[in-house]
Formats: sequence, C-alpha cells, structure tokens
Amino acid sequence: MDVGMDEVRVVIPAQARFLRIARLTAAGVAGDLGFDLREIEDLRVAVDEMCAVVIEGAPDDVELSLVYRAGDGELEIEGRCPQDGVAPEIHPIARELLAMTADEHETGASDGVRSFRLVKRRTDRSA
Amino acid sequence: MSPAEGGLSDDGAGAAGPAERFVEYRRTGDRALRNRLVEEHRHVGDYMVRRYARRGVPEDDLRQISLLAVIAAVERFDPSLGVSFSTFAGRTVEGELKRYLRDRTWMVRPPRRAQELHLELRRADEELTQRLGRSPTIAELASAVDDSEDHVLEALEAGVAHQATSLDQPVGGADEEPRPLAERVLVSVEPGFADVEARTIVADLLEDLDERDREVVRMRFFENLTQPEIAARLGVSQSYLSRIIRRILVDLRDRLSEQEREQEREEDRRVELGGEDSNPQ
Repeated sequence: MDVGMDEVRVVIPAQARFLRIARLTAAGVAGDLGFDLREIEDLRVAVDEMCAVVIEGAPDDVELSLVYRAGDGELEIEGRCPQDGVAPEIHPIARELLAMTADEHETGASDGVRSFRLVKRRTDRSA
Repeated sequence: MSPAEGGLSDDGAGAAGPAERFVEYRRTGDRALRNRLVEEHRHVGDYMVRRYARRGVPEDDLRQISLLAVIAAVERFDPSLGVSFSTFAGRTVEGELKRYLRDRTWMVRPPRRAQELHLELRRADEELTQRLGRSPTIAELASAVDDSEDHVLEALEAGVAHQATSLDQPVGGADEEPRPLAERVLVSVEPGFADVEARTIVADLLEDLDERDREVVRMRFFENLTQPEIAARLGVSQSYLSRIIRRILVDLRDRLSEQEREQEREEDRRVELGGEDSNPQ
C-alpha cells in the first residue's frame, strides 16, 4: 500500500475473500476524513457491492486496483479489474444497497477493463 | 440429517435444500447466490419492520436497516447450529432495529459500536484462550461475539481510548467491576434486567419522557450525580427533585408493564396467524 497526501492505492487479488481489505481501507480513510460511524458503515457496504460487481467471474490471477481519493468532505473510490469488456450488470439487491449507501456510483467497461467509481459524502455537522 | 434440515418452513423455494445453499455461500462467497438468498428471505425483515414501525421513526430507515441485517444474517448463518434461517434472520434484524432505536433515544452521540464491541472482545478473548489453550483467531472471535470479522478487526483497532459519552461507556468506581452506563439505569429501574434487549426496552421508554425528565434520569442514573447536585443544576429543591424522580420511575414501571402486555398480545396474534417461523427446538 502506498500512502500519498490525499490518495491511497491498494491492489488486491480479485477474489471475494480479499474484499475485506477494500472495506477496511475505505473505513480507515473515511475515519480520517471525519465520517461518522453510520456513514462508514454505508461506505463499507457500497465499496463491497461495487468491488463484487467488477470482480465477478474474474480468474484467480487477476488483480483489483483501488484508489481512495480524499476530497473536500467526500471520499471518491475507483476500482479497476482487467476482465472482458462487458459492462457489469448490477443485481437489483445490490442496486438497492447502493442507492441507500452511496452518493454517486457508476460502473463501466472498456479496453478489457471493468471499472467502477463511487463517491460518499460526509454529512455537514457544522449546522 | 442435520437439525437445520428438519422440516422448517425456512424457504420453500430452495429445491436443493436451504441448508446446503447457505453452506455453499459460506464456502464460495458467490454474490449471485447471496442475492438470491436475500431476495427469498427479506420478508422476514419486512415482518420485523412492521412490528417496529409505530415508533415515530421513518419506515424507510427501518427498511434499510432490515435489508442490511438480512444480508448480515446470510453472511453469518451457520446451519449446523440447528436453528432455522428465518429464526436467525429474525433475531438479527430485530437486534439491529433495536440498536438503531436505542441509538436515536438520546441527544448524545450514539454509542460507539467499535468501543462496545472492544469490551465484548476482551471478554471473549479471555474465555476462548482458556477454553482453546491458545489465542483465538479472528473468525473464532467473530463467532463468539456474533459479529462480522470486519467489525472485530476494527474494534481491536479502536481500543478504549474514546471518551465520547454514551450509554455503553463503562463506568464504575475503583472497587467496582466496570459496567455500561445503561446497565446502571436498568439495575435502578428493574433489578435483574441486565442484557442488551432490556437496555433497549428502557431506552425506548425513556424516549417518551419530556426533555427535563430525561435529563434528570441521565444525570441521576447515567452520570451518577447525587440528588443535591442535580437539584442545584436544575435550580429546584431536593425534596421536589426527589418527587420528580419517584414519579418518573413509577411512570417507567407502568409503561414497561403495559409494553410487556402489548408484546404478549402481539405474540398471541402472531401464533394465531400461524407465524411462518415457529421455533424448531
């Protein structure tokens, strides 16, 4: 793991059992940004669902690359997994989960890489 | 035949046997299978949502919590334990809903989940170390405290450094075993009610108090302030405060009894309706 100023990069095997690392990293970075417990729980669910979509069907030797980018009161996470170029389909249950846990989310596929982008914003607690 | 296969109305849709599908999910982590299991069982969560929906909380919030809890139940369900998935999921959803309702009860920060879990983990670690003759694994700890491995890892990280005031922050004098603050209220209100469920019930009751009464309960039973200290803070006489406290406790007892009666009536209705989830044991 390489830790920069506002960006954390993690590369893990594209297998379900390693998604914990993706979730825990998200929780750690979000905690640093002042997200509250509920928001972190949401984020963890959203990251898990998005990762699961892009790694589905991936062979054992494929990796999932994740970038956690800290913005102003928000955390953007991008994931890329080399897979055939079919746009990943999101199951209705996963869609429902994402709708309630993420502020923005999208998936894509091009040049033999499946990808996702996810944004979670922190609640403004200054009011 | 494993007990979990023993003729439960668990999920009629599962031609391959419900237990095997959960075992397969635990083994493979196959997301498509998880989604199917969740779809087939989310009605268990919906039932619990209806049960808790009348408490002035947005139903959408409860539905979200319920869905997440059904997913958590699918993740953690172990058919070899001999309870049906519906029973297990029902308890999981109910626990999460109660926790949510409890957290909303007070104007202070919600209880620190990780900190709360950290204390449970310390106890579980000691027990398991003794029993196993070695330090437990994360999976063993997670199973012992009935939580996810993610939460266990986080809670280990959390330590006990947090100072946020919460119902679950342990308190106690030098010569006392530390106990959660909320438990003290229970001991004061109703001796013998010392588990999380009872704490939640009390938290629900307290929610209906007006702001001043709730503040009085918080100071007296959660902060352990003396009556003279509280009287001074509120600017009332000690004897007046004493009457307030007595009235609050009587009121809480009455409403607790009423709530229990209501719950019994609800259980009766559920049995009459032939609830989908009769206990297999």
